[in-house]
Amino acid sequence: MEENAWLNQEVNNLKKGETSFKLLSILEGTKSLAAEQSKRLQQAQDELDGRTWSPDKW
Amino acid sequence: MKTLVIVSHPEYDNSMTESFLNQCQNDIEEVDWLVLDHLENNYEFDVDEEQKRLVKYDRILFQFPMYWYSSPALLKKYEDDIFTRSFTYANEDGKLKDKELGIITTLGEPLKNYTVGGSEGFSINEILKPYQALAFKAGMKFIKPFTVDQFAYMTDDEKSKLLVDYRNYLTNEDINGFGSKQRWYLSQLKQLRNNLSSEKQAKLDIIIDYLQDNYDRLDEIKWELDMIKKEED
Repeated sequence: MEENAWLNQEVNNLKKGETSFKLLSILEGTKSLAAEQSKRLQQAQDELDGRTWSPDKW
Repeated sequence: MKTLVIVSHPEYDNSMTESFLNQCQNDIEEVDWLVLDHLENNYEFDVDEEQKRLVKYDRILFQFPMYWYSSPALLKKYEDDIFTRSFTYANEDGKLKDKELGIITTLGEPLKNYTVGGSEGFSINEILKPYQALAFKAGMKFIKPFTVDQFAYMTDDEKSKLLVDYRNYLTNEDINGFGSKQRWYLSQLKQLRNNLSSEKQAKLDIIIDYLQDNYDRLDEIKWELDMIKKEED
């Protein structure tokens, strides 16, 4: 999640001065989407490493 | 994709939940909103007109507050009147075949109570079986239901998430996949970009590029994993 700190900060900046609840909500949702992407990227990379280095292939 | 939300709520004009949900979607061209309580005339509907309406949509959604584990009576009346045998049966005229049917239901009780062993005793999936059966008979795809529980107690953050999830349910062609969720979200961000100042647009573009890059990387790794799994088979 730490790697998305800049994104969360940017989203907060974009929200400043905006009043539409719709716009604010969609912008805010970007944070959880990016967090889910990061989690899945990590999981997928770990799985890829695990399968690539499987002892079965030694 | 065209979506029709068919709302049945005896207190529609006084409902905070319905008012909120209406405002969540009222800018989306591909979504139409039909309030049965405003449409009925002496508890009757124009069958021909309503059947002509339904065939125009790809996704048909019934939206209602849960009344005694079912919809308010008016939606049942609509079903009974409009879903005539030949029009509905997939093996006859089957005018609804291959369309999607979904349920949006609002609950006064917490969703967690709707489970075996919970205070409601039955899950939402079990309670909504009659709609699933209707979809089955009509050759429609029954999509997973969307529940809104205890709207009156929701915080602004929860309402914010509800808005996004609701729009996704109405307009995302594949509500199950994360790949589709990402593509849908990117399109939402690109649409709202026009409502921002040029300085903010440039900042949003960086975010969009970042999300798109993540999407591409995920897709690429998934492809590599699929290849490895095929080799391992």
